[in-house]
Amino acid sequence: MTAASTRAHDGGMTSVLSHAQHYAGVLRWYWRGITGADAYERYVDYLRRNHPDAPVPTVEQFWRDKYDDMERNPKTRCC
Amino acid sequence: MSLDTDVQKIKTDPDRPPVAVVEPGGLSGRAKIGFLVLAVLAAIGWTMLAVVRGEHVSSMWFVLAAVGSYFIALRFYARLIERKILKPDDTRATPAELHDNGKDFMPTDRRVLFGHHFAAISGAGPLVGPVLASQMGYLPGTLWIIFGVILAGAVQDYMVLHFSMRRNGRSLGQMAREELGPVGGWAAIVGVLTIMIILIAVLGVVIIGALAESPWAVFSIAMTIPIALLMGIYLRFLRPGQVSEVSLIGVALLFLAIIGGKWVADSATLAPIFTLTKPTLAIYLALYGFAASVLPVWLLLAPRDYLSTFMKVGTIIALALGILFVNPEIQMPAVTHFAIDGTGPAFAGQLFPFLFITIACGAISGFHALISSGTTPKLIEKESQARIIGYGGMLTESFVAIMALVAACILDQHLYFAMNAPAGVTGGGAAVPTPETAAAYTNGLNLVNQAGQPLPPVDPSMFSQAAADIGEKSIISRTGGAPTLAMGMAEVMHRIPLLGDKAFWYHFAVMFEALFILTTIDAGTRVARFMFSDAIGNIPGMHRFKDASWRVGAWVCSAIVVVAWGSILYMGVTDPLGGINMLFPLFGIANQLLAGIALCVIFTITIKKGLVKWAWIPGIPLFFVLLVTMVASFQKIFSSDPKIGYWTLRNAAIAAKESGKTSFQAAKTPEQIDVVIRNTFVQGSLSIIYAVLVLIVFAAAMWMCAKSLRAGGMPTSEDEHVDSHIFAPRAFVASAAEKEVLAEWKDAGLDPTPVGRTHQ
Repeated sequence: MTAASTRAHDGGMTSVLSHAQHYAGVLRWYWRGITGADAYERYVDYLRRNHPDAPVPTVEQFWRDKYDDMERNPKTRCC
Repeated sequence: MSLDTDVQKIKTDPDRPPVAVVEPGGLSGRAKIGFLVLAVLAAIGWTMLAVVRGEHVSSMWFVLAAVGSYFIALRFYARLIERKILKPDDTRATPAELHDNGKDFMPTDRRVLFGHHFAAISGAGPLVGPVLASQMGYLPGTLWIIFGVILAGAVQDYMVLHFSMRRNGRSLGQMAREELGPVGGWAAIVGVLTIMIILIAVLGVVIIGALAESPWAVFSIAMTIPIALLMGIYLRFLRPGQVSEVSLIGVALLFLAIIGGKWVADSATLAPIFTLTKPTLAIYLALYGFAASVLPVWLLLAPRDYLSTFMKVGTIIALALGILFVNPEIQMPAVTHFAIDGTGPAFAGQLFPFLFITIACGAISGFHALISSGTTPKLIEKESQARIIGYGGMLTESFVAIMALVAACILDQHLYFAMNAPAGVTGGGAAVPTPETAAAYTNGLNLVNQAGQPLPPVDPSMFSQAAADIGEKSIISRTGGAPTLAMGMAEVMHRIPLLGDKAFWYHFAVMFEALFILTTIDAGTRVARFMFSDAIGNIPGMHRFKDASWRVGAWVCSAIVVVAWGSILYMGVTDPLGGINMLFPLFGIANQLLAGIALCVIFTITIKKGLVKWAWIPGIPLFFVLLVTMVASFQKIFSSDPKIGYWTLRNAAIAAKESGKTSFQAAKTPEQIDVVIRNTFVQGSLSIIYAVLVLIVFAAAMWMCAKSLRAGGMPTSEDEHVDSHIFAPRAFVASAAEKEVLAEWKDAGLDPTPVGRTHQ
């Protein structure tokens, strides 16, 4: 849960503003998920969960590796 | 509630909360009322479209008929497939859970994955086919799009997704090899490769139809390349990983490019630079495809893809909301005489089979089988989610096709036919069509209104006015479907206050379609290059081609692939008889044949699993797609009508040449007659190759099925069961029992699924 969503669900704090923040947060989470913009955070989460001792790559390194992967394994787009 | 007693919550680990919820098939009282309301709304929509067909047909009826039918199909037909054939088991770990590596295998929130899957399957196909098919009236296309998706397209996507998920996300080609044996598998791989070549070429013809002689459109599309490069460099060196930020910058620049296009078109010095002929554009497009295939992914391909996803999802939502808000009235009658006599200008041939291959994507698209296998199955959290993602994702694409059909059918009929008929007929005898010759042509078409009365003749000034409204010199014979859709979209969007004029929206729509198509062309060229190098790497002495990082091999294979589709593209845009109406049938046949291959695979797996009683579910679409493609291929190869049969047309052209004639139909010079003779040879040969390949796959599938029937079922290549340790609801909204299980996980202080921060 993000801070925005927690606020929106707090009793009594359901002002228009916090609702708007909540929905903006949902939209942002959803959009980043579809476009894959959250890939780095998700990979870091994955490492923390499963390989806590493994070194965490930097953002730069992660995206370089990701594009190298795409270079080797092309994904098709539909017509 | 009484239903609760039948709900099972299954644990795989006694110390952890349940990982699966099995609920009985029945509906609760409230759900029953909900589906009754949906059924009534769908029935009202269908009645107004198919039975009443009043003088004023509203676009709202399309929305009701489509959406109502979709929800009922998703709840009842997809559930039937789920219960009787696929039998998802949520106690089984999916490949995403089992092989989670935080990258390509990774459990992903079902709602995000739905959007991700939809963005991968949707493209220009569902936007173009329905526009062309509108020449037969709105009803045949609507019926096929909605019932086709329910019984064929969504079934294919769903079943392929499920079977690939049970096989560690294997691709369609690999599944064909494993399930159909080496011959069928080999034919399937060659089929997929050749079909991709024709798909890329025809998409190129479509977009060149919108770009030719239009400096505004060419400038704004050309600008997408430097914008993508800029985004790529920004992401690489300035702000790595800031995908949303760079996409917003890219979209803002894109809008500037569209606005700047008007300025370019109005400028006396710049306009000629960006006014390009079709053959020139074809060469540029081929060079672009080659560059995209050999340049680093981060520089061009990836940023373009972000831009394209942004525009795709945004524009489709905008168009759907626009149609709901404006509720434009349909101009096209339910059925035109072209549906009966088969003489339509956008494509020739009778309703059966040619309507069913013209509308490929939107009703059933074989290409989706390539996405449903491979990418999406590696991201799915729970087996039971495949229904909402595979079947539901395809229903959404079908809705896009309905929107495209509505956008075409709200245009004035004279305008629609003047735009979609090749220049050879709208020009009369003249070399270049004028508003006068186009008006003479459409006035001679015997067009009728919704009530069946003849439409009043059109004044030529209507065509010049329509062109002026969108900032173009001419709109006559802007074939290919893309300009017509752009016109329809402009017609809808400019009626919303404060949202820009027709000219802006027309060029916005052209740019958005071009962006789609270029993304498909560059990704497709790259994939075809890999498939090709992988295939020739099997030849002794050519092993080195298998090494994807060998630059020489990459360049050679890219060049071969680009020359293959580039020459068909060039052929299409220089065809004296009009490229799109000659090539689009091949595009449809190819896409449907790919669906035929995918359906052969899922049909065979169903039989091998011993589910003969339910084999009709994949059997109906398999039979129908084979019937349609084989009849269409047969007519394209053997028809004695030169408008349909490639070889008959070729023989007629040869006869004309030999008798010393200097013109043949729309070919006005001896050189053009030679072009017709060559093009029809290529088109006719491709028709034969595709049909033979698919018949081989079909024969291999039937042989395997017969073997399996004799043996009373056969083992399939399905992976072993491994227990799952995560939980997630099956549909978008969690059921009451699923909410209880989620609460159990929360009470135990555990995350039900490692999808990361969600907004649950």
